[in-house]
Order: sequence, then structure tokens, then C-alpha cells
Amino acid sequence: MRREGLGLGIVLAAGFGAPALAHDAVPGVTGHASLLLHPVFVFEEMLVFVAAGLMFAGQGRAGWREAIAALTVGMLAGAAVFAAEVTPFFAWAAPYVAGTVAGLAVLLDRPLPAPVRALGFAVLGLGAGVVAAQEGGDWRALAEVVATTAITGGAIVLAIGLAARGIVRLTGRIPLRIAGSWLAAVSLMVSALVLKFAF
Amino acid sequence: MALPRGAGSRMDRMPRYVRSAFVSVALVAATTPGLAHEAAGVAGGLSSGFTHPLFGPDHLVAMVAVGLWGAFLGAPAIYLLPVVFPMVMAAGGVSGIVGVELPYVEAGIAASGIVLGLFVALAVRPPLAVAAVVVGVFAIFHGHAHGTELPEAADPVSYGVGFVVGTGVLHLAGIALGSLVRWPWGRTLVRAAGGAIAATGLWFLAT
Repeated sequence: MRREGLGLGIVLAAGFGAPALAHDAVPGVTGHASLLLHPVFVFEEMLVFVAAGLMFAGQGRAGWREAIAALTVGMLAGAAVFAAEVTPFFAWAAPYVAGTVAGLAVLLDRPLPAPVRALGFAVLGLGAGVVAAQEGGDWRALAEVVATTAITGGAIVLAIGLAARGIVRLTGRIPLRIAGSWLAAVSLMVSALVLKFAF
Repeated sequence: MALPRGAGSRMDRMPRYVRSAFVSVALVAATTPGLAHEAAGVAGGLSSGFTHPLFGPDHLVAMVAVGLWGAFLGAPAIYLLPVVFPMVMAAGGVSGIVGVELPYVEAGIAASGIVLGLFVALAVRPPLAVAAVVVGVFAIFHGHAHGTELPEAADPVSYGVGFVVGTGVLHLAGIALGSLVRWPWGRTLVRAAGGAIAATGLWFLAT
């Protein structure tokens, strides 16, 4: 319960804290700090990590190691394909398609088979990796941006996952399922938008 | 500090979904609003998307009516209808994004207020599946209207997030108001609110 309370506290503190700022309007923040804040200010990345957090909360503790591994491998793969300039168009839609699937999984509140769950986390990671890699230049800068995105992304996943579990304990699973429907709705529309522009 | 006698027990007697609705609305109301540039970037998209259903009275009355009717029908409609609405709205949004023509969108949006408001006012209690289909049909019109606007938004992703969350907040507001049906005076108030929503929808249809 203490961990769920911590997650809920982090989310509440974020809500009561500083107002939302535009991506390029964080005064005086540069270097590592700017990279660390990247997932917070880039909606595509935030969507991915919120989806992953809700998935963790909805799917329970089973297979969490595999899920983290799949998310990490997906991120590395996304960064690699972007760096190699072979990014297929579906990589741009990947976070939203995965967000739709994750949202539906949370909405339906059914445990997914382990391979499907791992694939979902990998595709979420792929999307985050592609978006994050846009900030990179040479391989060193790329490694730095992927590492910082992983750190902040991991913190977001943990905070959302623990907060969602705390809310589930307090109020039942309905708010989690409603959050899943919102996530699926947003992701579905943006998937359509990205695919429309891709074609 | 000691609580007044019965204060805790009254809260305890509230159904969990009522507490959830109140807590959610309170949290949203308490958070700091986005203060970044107007209609630019992520914050601009989020802000325009969030305020679109709130400041568009035709959307507002229909979405409050969904929550109100859900609360009126009780569980499981109270959470099923607000889940059906955004999902079908998203499908309608996709049709708008890809350019599918849908006739009578504005009339459909106005009709949603009239029909859902009347159902609340007249205390109509159809089977759950019928209620879900009714809400879903109207959600297509709302989604299509949003979907056609989405590609032109300053930041389509954050605009999409904003208006889905804005829609959800209106549903929660409807649920919170609808939860008053537990008391006789509240039931009258909720049915009157349904009548007011229907009248507003009629006004939109006429103008």
C-alpha cells in the first residue's frame, strides 16, 4: 500500500505542481536535464509510458520482468532503425497502434497471453525509441538520449502503474478501465491521423 | 480532531462509483491549468482540445446527459455508457479524419441532446444493450465533428488527448449530478436537468 501511495503522491504532486509548458519553453534547462525532461514534454513519449504504466497496473505482476525487457529492447530497436535511416512508416504509427491495443487490454480487463503482452510492450518501446532518437545526432548523443528517455520513461511507468494500482485498491477497477477507454480512444484517432499523413 | 457523529458513516455508505466520480472531478478541478502559449504547441493543442467540448454547448449538454443517464440507470450502465461513448466517438473521429462524409452531423449532435435529455426527463429505462447502442450512435456524430477538426489542430495528438479527457470530465460531472437520484428531491432535480438538456438540444436544432 505504501508503494501505491507513493505513486499516487507523485502523480498528485505533478498535478499540483508547475503548469504545463510547451516543449521548447523550459527556461534555463539544457543538457542532461533537458533530455531527462523530454518524455514529460513530448506527448508521443508520454502517451507510450502512460500506456505502459496502465498495462502494468491492469495486467498485475505476472511477467513484469519480460515486459520491462520487451519495452527496453523495443526502445533500442526504435532508436536503431531511426539512426539507420530505415524507419518504416509504421514505426511512426507504432506508439499509437500499441496505445490502442494497450488501452483496449486495460478496458477489457483481461490478462493477455505472455507473448502478446511482451509484443505490446515491445511495440510501445519501439515507438518511444523512434521519437526519442530524433533528438540524437551521432551515436554518442543517440545513446545519451535513449538512456535518459529510459530513465524518465521508467519513472513515469512506475508512477502511473503504482498510482493506478492505488486507485484500484481505493475505488475498484472501474476507473482503470475508463482510463483504458480514454487511452484507446486517443490512440486510435491519432493512429488514423499518422497513417493518413503517411499515405 | 473528532469528526461529527455520522460524518464518516455517511461517506462510507456512498457507493464506490459515486466516491470515484467526486474524487475524479475534485482532482481535475484542483490541478493547475496549462498556462503555455495560446493555441500553439502541445499546451495549445491540449488546451483547445480540452476546452472544445466544455465551451461547445452542443457537445457539453450531450456529454453531461450521457453521464446523467448512466447514473440514472445505475450499474453497470453508469460506467459502461461513459466507456462506450469515447470508444465509438474515436471510431467516428477516424471516419472524419479519413474523410468519410457523414450527413446531418450537426443535426445528429443536437438530436443527441434532445433524445438523451428526454430519456432522463421521462425516466426511460431500456435494456443495457439498447442504451449502449443509442449512446454509441450519437457518439459517432460527435466523433466525426471532432475528427474533421483534428488534422487542422495546432498539435493533433495533444488536441485528441485534450478533448477525450474533456469529454470524460463532462461524463463524470453528469455522473456526479446523476448520483443525486438516490434521494427523492435529487430524482426530481435530475429529471428536470434532463428536460433542460432536451430543451437546449431542441434550441440547437432550431437555430
